[in-house]
Amino acid sequence: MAATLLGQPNPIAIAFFIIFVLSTIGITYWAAKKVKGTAEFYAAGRSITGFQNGLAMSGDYMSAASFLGIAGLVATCGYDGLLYSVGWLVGWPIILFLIAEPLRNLGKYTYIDAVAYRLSLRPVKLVAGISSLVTVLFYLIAQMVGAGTLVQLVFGLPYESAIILVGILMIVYVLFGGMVATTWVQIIKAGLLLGGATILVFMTLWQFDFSYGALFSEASAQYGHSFLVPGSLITSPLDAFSLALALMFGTAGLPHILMRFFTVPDAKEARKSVFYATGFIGYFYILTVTIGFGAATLVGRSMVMSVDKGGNMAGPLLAEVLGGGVFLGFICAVAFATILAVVAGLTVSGASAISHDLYVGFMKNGVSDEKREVRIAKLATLALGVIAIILGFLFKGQNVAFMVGLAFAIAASANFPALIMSLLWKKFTTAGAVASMITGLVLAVVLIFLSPTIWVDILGNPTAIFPLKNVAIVSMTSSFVVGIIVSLAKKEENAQQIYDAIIPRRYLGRGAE
Amino acid sequence: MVNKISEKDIVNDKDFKDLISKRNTIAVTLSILELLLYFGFIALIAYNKPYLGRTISPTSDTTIGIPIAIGVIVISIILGGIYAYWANTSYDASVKKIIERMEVE
Repeated sequence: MAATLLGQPNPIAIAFFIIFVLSTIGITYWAAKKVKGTAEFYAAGRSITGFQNGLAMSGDYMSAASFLGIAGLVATCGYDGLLYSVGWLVGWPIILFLIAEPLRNLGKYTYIDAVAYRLSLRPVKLVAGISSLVTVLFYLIAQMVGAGTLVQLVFGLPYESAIILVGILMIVYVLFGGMVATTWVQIIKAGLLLGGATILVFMTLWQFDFSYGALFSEASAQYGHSFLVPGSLITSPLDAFSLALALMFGTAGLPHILMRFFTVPDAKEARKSVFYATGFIGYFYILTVTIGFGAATLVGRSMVMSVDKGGNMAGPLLAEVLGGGVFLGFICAVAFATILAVVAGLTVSGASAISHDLYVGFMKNGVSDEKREVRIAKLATLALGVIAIILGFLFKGQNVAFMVGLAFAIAASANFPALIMSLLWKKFTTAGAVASMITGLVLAVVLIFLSPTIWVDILGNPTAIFPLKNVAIVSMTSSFVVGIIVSLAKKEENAQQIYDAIIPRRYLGRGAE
Repeated sequence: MVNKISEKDIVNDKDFKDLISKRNTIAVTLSILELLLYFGFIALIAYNKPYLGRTISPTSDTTIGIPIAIGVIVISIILGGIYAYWANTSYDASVKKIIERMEVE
């Protein structure tokens, strides 16, 4: 491939995108009539089926980082990209086996409800609410900057107007349609993304007579055998395990994913959701890997990297080679819809952390009237939209790829340990939860700052103070150890009694909300 | 006549105890399998890259690492499917039976 249409306004992309925006705004208008109280705003009235929620979960999870990022990583680094596609999938079965049922049966609107269920409400809600919000904000920055850059490339719009457009749309979806609109935006986006990627893979394999062997032979012929072998991304075994921990357990600590468990009526539908989501996401990752190898062979690695150094345009460029400007436009619109939907999911989750966990849980000790809570949630949505736009401006042109990694590291280190210990370990205490979450949050943020990712690559220092690129092996382990030691140091009688008392609820769903 | 079931009755019921211990055994076993699967794969990457770099047959350029990675994804989906199927049929049916039986007694 010698030249691309990327960089000039693509009328097809704009047309597809306008159709997407109009239909999702239509859905929001319909949803707005249904959103009356907290159950609708946070949990779509618990009316979503397992299959729908599975699609919506995969929609929440398949961000631009996985669609554009993994394909780009495979196109530029070969096999190493597969590490991410595998790592981002394997957390799902763990969620299903250990978390799904008790979380659904014990929680109300956010995963923090389930953590705090048998502990003291205020301290847990405060610390978990902050950690949840921090996770969401880092994830949000990565999505906003990605959206701005993508729109600049595809639609020819300036970066700033793209950020404002995304910010306004996410506010509209969430403010008026709450979780009802957000869920349907996710479902449509997941359908578009799975469909678009399937067509792209079909057309790629067509070039190779539907033989993966032929595709890999071509990749090997162009870039050598080493392209099909794990390579430079993972330098030390310790780093490999650390990355693996963050990817696997980070998934199980993402607030916007865990929140989706409360949109279904019961544990049975929750299990179904996770199974469908795992299937869709696994299928999608196999597609993105194929797209990556397709882009490497049919577009060419140097072409991919000349458009975007990180390789993020591998998928769109492959679409252009195979289907011209029309298909390029379609795939770009799908990528933009992807970002928009993920941003909406993050906003509901961030708003609920502010209104349900920090305001009602912490400030009001769990007592508030519903009308007021919804009003606070809507104000929080508005505030988050404005903050997202400002952050998008501030981080313009910065390398934000590490922020998704940081969000996963915090989720794995601060959110996941407290959640799993509260659900499964009788002797876990309030002090243990608070200490564990603070340890995980502070260590994850500080160590990433001191790691080669920021200290060397971004700040330009010669050597890193913390040697590993991935921090979870230290931050997540410490979070568990601190949580266990503090819990064992001082017994919390009340927490243990409630643990026993809620056994029927956690296993049978009796009295679950 | 339907008695109100106290939480205590359920917790002390033998069938219920058996059921949750069976559920926990299955969930923990499957979790361990999943962890072994994934960290086994990571261990290969960390300590035995040359193995992953072998080709699947002398005439092919495809490396063993590719089907292994895809295999981890597919097996993860299957393990999840096994649990979801068991829980949504056998487990949920037993739960219903226990509650119904206690309501009659």
